[in-house]
Amino acid sequence: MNQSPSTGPNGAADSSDTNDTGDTGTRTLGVLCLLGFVLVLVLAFGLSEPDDEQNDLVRIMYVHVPSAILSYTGFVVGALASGFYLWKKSLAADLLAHASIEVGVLFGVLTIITGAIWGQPTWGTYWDWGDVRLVSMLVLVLLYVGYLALRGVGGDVNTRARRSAVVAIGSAAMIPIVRYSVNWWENRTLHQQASLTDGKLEDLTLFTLMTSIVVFLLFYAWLTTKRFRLGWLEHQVTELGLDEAIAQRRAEARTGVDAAVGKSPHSDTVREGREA
Amino acid sequence: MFRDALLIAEKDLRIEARSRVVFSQVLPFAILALVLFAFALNADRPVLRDFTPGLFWVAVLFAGLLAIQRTTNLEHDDGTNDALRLSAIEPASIFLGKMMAISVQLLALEVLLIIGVLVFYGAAIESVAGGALLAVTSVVSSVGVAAAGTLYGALTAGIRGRETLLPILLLPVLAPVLISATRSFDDAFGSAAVNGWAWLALLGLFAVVYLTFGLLAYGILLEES
Amino acid sequence: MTNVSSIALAWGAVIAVIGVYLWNVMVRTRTAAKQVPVANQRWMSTPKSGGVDSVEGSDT
Repeated sequence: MNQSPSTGPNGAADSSDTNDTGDTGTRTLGVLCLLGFVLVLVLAFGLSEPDDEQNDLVRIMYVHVPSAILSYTGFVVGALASGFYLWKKSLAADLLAHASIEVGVLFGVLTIITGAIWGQPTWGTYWDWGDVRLVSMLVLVLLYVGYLALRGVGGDVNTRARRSAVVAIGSAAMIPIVRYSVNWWENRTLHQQASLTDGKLEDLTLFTLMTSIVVFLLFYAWLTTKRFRLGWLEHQVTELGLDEAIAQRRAEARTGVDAAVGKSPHSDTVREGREA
Repeated sequence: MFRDALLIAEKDLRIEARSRVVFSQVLPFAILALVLFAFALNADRPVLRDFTPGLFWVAVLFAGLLAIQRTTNLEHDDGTNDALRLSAIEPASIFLGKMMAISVQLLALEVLLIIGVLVFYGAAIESVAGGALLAVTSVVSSVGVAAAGTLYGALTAGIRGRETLLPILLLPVLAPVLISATRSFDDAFGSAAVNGWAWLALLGLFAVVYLTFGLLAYGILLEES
Repeated sequence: MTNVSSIALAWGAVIAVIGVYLWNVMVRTRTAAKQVPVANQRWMSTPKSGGVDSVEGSDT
């Protein structure tokens, strides 16, 4: 980022230099992600062969499975950051938890969408309640939508951070409970059983899937950093707004007192200063 | 700690005994839900009997939500939260006390609703073991729902739009309770061949997790004003 | 639905949703960045007063 002192007279930034929150680290990461996505595209559509059972539909797996893993990563990191917030009361950790969970929800929704699209030609239906992983992902996404709703209500920053942290940790505790209960609920799962490990997938298919997972995790790191910095900037804006409001109140109070005492010239300058 | 908790529970139950909000508003709501389910399913007795466990627990969850909202608003609206904090009672005891009060109310609700489904839906308790399963499931789920409810109720207290926020936060959390309690009742009413006691174990796990979590986290939520 | 259109739909949905989200984050970043002095924009070097890490001093 260009940090040249091109600020206006009142300290506000010139828009041209400050449009993004990138630095060398995130730029490198971003470029890596882009290259990675190109690689995944080449692997997924150019080099890998159709699967024996799923035919070409296996190509949906290259986005579906990494999305699911990314989503769970987002939820777990969110819970860890929330725990760190409660421990150290660092607002940065709170903002990180928000960023991570928001990205997690985004990819949770994508997991459900791609899963349903895959289900239509494979099972003949978009949605089957017997599919344990999709159903539990749906419950988890709804759980974390509640978290985002709680963050949206505003109020005192520290209060919100504390409440959100409790919800984030409680929701992460729900992940295994939801998985188990839904798993027992319908044992007739339609899902590919542990296709990652039993060597049923072709070599290149497995390699493509692994590459895609790695690229998605890199993308998670990049996106969460970006979202974290946005949250941080928006926090700064609220803080600034608060400072400004307090300064205005003080100025008003002073004007009132000065007017009462009769020092009108001084109060005029204050008023002019505020109007300028 | 436990004595303080009993004190808090007694206080909440006494308020309920005098105001009768749960009795005169929440219970009728639950019965209304049973009637509406019957209309929705075309008053088909065999269908109603088969789906009794699910309908019963949906009714309990929605009515329970109202009861939880009522109990938390009680503290917030009258500013008694501050008084409670000043009273030097540990937050864990407050949590435990409020949890017990809500459990008792939920349990009373469930007993009356069980009579309701026996009469309206023609459900039948097959055996003594079924009756025992019914009773234990009711107690354990009440504790689980009350624990999660007390925690999330305190969490949304005082927030603008808490009436809409509490359901969206709490209902996904209670989804596993709905699944397990329904399965357990399936066994008790004989409407599906499942092992209800195994599901009861999952309910117990949920209750333990949320009791522990609530005891630890309630203080964090009370710090604020 | 044919396999090809399913695959196109799935990948298209992923790209579209990520794109919309990124666009939203970018626009909001621009708006926020315009209101914050450059000195305060280096995201880890927050001044201790009024910044992200100033929770200790507040009235909690």
